Amino acid sequence: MARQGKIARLPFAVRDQLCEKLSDGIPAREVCAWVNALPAWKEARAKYGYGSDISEQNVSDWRSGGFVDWQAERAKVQHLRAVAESACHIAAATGGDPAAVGSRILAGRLTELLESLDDQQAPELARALAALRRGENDAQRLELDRSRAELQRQALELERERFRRQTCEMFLKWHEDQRATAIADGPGANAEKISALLAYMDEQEDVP
Amino acid sequence: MRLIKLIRAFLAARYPAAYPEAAILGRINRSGMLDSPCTAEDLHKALLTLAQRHGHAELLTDVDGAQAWSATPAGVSAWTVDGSPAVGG
Repeated sequence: MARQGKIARLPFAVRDQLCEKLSDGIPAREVCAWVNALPAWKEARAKYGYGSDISEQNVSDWRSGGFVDWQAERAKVQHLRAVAESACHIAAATGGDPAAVGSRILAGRLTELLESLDDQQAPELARALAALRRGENDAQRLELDRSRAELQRQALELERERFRRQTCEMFLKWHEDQRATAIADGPGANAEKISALLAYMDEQEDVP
Repeated sequence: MRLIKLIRAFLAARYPAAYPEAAILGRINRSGMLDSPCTAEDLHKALLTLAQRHGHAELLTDVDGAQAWSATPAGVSAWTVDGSPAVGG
């Protein structure tokens, strides 16, 4: 049966605000002062012929009646929204755009499933999905590591190729240099020739 | 509660999830919030009204042709103003 008290006859928006104030712990005296100053209350008072303003007793009665209904309804809505959000996250985790039609239809199916679970089944499903998610994350990490290793291998290969090319270019350049050729063909161990060549290269770099 | 309001409440609370008409019909009738069970035809007409006249619902079609209804952001706002009644859950 619909409630018919002073507060129950206020517009929904006002009742909602009043319940929010009660939920926030605002004292009844302050709630009364607030609601009795509203144009919506003055209209209701005139319309229903109430002889007095909303009292702390009215608020107290509402607290044990309409406010309890409001809390239950709000909890229900919050639960539904949480389930819908979970379903959307799960749908998104399967890959693809979460806003795509397919994901939204999947989210609908998942919401149906989640809403049908009892208090014991829901945590079990959550654990199973968490384990599935961990497995997927591990697989993705492994794939990422493989890709990184491949990129490093390719970078090393390119560097090796570049070094060989540069070595050949340097050889051809210095092979045309008579002084360098003389050092290379001259007497002495390779270590001495290398030192001599390096010293000669330094001289060449200093030449403007 | 009126059928249109009930449908909007059902879809808006679960936005952006989308549901085929058959699923909505089952949930609406199981909610016990109508004076008498809703037929598939009544539901379809109500959904069209909600979508075309109010812009509070939309029909989505997947690449494989599957169709499902979802609330729109305007529908969610209207549901909130209504008092966010909960249907099912």
